[in-house]
Amino acid sequence: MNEGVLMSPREAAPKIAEVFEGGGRCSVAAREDRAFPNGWFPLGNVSLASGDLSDDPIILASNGAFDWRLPGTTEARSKLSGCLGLEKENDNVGRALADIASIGVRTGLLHPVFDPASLEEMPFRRSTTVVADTSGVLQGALDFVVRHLPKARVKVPAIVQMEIANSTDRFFKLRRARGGNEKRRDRELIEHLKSQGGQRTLMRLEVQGDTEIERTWLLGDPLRSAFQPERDPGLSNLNLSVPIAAYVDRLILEAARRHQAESGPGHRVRLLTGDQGLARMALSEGIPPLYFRSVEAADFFGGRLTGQTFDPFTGQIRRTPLPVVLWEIATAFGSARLENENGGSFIVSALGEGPSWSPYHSVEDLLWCGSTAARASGDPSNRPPGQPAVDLFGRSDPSSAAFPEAPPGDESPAGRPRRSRPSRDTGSEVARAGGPRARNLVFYRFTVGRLLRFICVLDDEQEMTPLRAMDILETRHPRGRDEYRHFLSSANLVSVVNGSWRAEPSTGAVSAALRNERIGELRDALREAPSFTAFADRVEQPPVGRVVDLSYLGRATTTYRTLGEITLLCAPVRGEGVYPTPAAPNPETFAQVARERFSELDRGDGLVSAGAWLESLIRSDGIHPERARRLLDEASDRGFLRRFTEGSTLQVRFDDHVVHVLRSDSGEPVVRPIHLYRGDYLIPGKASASLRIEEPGP
Amino acid sequence: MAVEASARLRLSIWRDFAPSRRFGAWDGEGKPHQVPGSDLDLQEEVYSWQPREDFLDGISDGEARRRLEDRLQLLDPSHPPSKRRLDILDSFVSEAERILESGDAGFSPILNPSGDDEDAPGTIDSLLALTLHLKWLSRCFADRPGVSVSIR
Repeated sequence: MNEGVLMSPREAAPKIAEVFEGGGRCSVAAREDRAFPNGWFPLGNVSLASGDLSDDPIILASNGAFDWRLPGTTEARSKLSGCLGLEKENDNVGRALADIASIGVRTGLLHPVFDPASLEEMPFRRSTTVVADTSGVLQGALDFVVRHLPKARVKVPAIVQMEIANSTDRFFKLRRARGGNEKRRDRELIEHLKSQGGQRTLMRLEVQGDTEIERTWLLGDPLRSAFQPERDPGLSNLNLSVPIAAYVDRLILEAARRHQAESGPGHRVRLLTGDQGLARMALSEGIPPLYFRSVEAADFFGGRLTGQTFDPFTGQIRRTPLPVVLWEIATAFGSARLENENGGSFIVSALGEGPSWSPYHSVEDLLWCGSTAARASGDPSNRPPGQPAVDLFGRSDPSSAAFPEAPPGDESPAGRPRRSRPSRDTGSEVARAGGPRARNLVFYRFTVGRLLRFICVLDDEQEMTPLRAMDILETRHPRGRDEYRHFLSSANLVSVVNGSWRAEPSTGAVSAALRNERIGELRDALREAPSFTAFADRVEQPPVGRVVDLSYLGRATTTYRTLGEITLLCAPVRGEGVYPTPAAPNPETFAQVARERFSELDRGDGLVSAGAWLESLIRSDGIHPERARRLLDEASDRGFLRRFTEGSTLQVRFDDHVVHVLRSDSGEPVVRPIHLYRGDYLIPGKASASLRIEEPGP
Repeated sequence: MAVEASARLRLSIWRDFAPSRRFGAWDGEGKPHQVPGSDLDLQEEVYSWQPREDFLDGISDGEARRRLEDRLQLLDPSHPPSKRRLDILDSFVSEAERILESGDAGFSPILNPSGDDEDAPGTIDSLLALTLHLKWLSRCFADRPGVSVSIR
C-alpha cells in the first residue's frame, strides 16, 4: 500500500482509472474502522463503459460512464450484521441501510421520491424559497433542490446545523468510548453515517457550490414556556408538564413562517421535509411542504445505477463522476475501497486512526488516498478471521494502539498533509502511430474547442502562469494540461519560459485566422505540428471515396478527426467512416456534380434529403459539406443551377450524422457540430431538409 | 419525403382535470354550445419531459427494440387516459429492465452533447438512465388517482 496522500476527487481520477486498467469490473466496499471488526462492507461491483469513442478509464470515470450493481437488501442486511459483529439482526441494521441508501440520493444517482403535488410544482417558474429541515439535508433532497431547481433560494435554519452538530458530538462520544464498544457498534455506525454525511452536504453547499445558502437566526420559540415542564404540584393535573417532542420541528417551521412574513405577497415559501409530522404541521399552518418519502434501503440496494443520468426537468445528461461517489461513501463510513479482480485497489479515507484534518481539506474536498498494486492471488474481502485488515497507510489492525487517533487539527507524523504529485510518466501518456511514416510520433488527446479558444486568449495576454492556463483550458489535472502544452509547443504556438506560458510570433496569426474563420491559414499553421502533419498526410493518401484508417491514433482519434473536420481535410459519414475531402471545384464544375448526385438520389418525387446529398458529395466526390454549402450558393447565384428547398420542421431522425465545423462566435472560435440531416444547415434561416436541383433556366 | 419517427420521446404525465365551475367552448357559427362534461376525460398535464438522447441507440438486439417500441405504442396519446395508467409505464420499465439484464443494451455514443463536450462527447447507457428516471416518476405518482401517461 502506498503511503496516504491528500487528493481531491478530480486529482484521484487517474489513480482510480489505474484500478480499472486491463478491463473488468471492480468491487466497491466501505469500512467504519471501529464499528466493523470484521472487515469491509461490500457495496457491489462497478464497471466502466466500453465504447470506441471514449476508452480512456480516466475520462470514463470522470464522466460518470460507469455501471454500478448493488447487492440486494437481504444480502446487504446479512453482510452488515456480519461486519458489525452482531449475533442477530436488529432494527438498527435496517436504519443503517436506509442511511447508506441516502448516499445514492445525495450524489444524484437517485432522486428523492417526492409527493406528486410537490413534483407538479417543479421546476419553479418564479423565485421560491425552500427551507430545509434536517431530513432534507441528510437524505439528499436538499442536494436535489440545489442541483435541479435553479429558481430556488435555499434557507437552512441554524437549528438544522445544530442537530447535525449534536449528531456529530454523539458519534465522537461513542467513538472515543473505550471498552464496551461492541454493543454500540450499530449506533456508532448510524451516528457516523448521519453526522458526517450531513456535514459534508452542508459543507459542499457552502464552499463548493454556487448556491446561495441563507442562515436563519436561532431564536427561542415564544411559545416554549407553555411546553416546559410544570413543576407546581398544584397544576400537575392540567397536564402542562409534557414537553413538546417536536421542538426542533417547531423552530424550523417558525423559520419558514418568519421568512414568509418578511417576503412579498407573491413570493412562495416551501418547507422541504421527509418528516410526516412536520409536513402535516406545516400544511395546517399555511406553509406548503415539499414533501418527500424517507429514503429506504430498497431504493438503493438491489438496484443498478449509473453516473450518467437525465436531468428530471430538462432531459440533459448529468454526470456524477465515480470519484465523487467514492468520496461520499468514504465520508459517510470513514473509508471506501475500489478493488479489481487481481487485488489491486484504491482506498480513500475521511476518518480513521491516522488521517488528520484541517479546514482546507474540506474547502478543497481533500481526502486521504492510497493504492496498491495487484496481488498474485487471494481475495482480501475474504480474509481469514483474525487476519488484520490493512488500512490506508498500510498498517495492520487499525484498532491497535500503535497509531492513536489524532484530535482534529493535530497533525501526526504519519498523517501530515502532503498533496499528491502527479507522476511524470502520466503527464503525456499518448497514442503512438503504428504506420511507418508516423512511427515515433506522439498524438495528443485534448478538446479541440478549448485549444482554439486558448490560442486566442494567449494571443490577448501574451504570457500567463500555468495555473491561468489550466483555468482557461478548464483542466485541473497536470496530465490534461500537458497534452495541450505539448501540442501547442510542437506547433510553435507556445513556449514555456521560467514556468510561464508565452505566445510565439505565430500565435497572433493563428488567433486572427480563428477569429475570422480563415480555414486555410489555420490548416497551414497546424501543419507546424508534426503530429498534425502526419495525420494530414495520412488523410490525403487514399483516393477519394475510400475510408481513411484512423485506428493508429488510438485514444487521440476524436481529437485529430475533429481537427481534420474543421480544417476541411476530411468528413465522416456515419456508419461508414471518415473520407478525405480534398476537392475544391469551381462553381461551374460543382454545379454539374451537384446535379449528378441529386439525380442518383432522386426517387421520382423531385426532392432528396439534403443530408443524403451532402454525404454523397463527401463519399463520391471528396467535397466537404462546408465547401458544398458555399459552392451551392455561388453556383446558384451565377446561374449554373437552380435550387429549391423544403422541410418546415427539424429532422432529428439522423441526428448522429454530424460533421464538426469552425465558427467564430463574438470573436471567439467555437467548434460546432453540424447535423447534416436537420435541414437548418444548407441555407441559414430557411428550412432545407429536402432539396431539389435543376438545370439552369433558359 | 417520408420522415421516420424519432425515438427521442416526449413524456407527459396527466391527471384528471375537474374544474370547479362549468366550462363552455364555442365551436363555430351555428354549432351548439359545447359544455364539456366529466365523460370528456379532461386532462391536465402535470409533468412533461424530453430526454436529449435516443434511448434505443444502445440496444443491440432488434427484437428487443421492437418489444420496447410496442410497449411505447400503448402509451400513445390517441388511447383513452383510462388505458394509459401508470401500470403501462411500469410494464415498459419491466421490459427495459429485462433487456438491460440480458445484456442486449449498453453504452452508446452521446449524440447531443452540450458545451465543451461537443467534440469529445463520450458514451451513455441511455436505456439504463431512462429506466431509472421512469422508475422514479412511477414511484412519485404511484398512488395518485386519475394519473395517466402519454409518450409520443
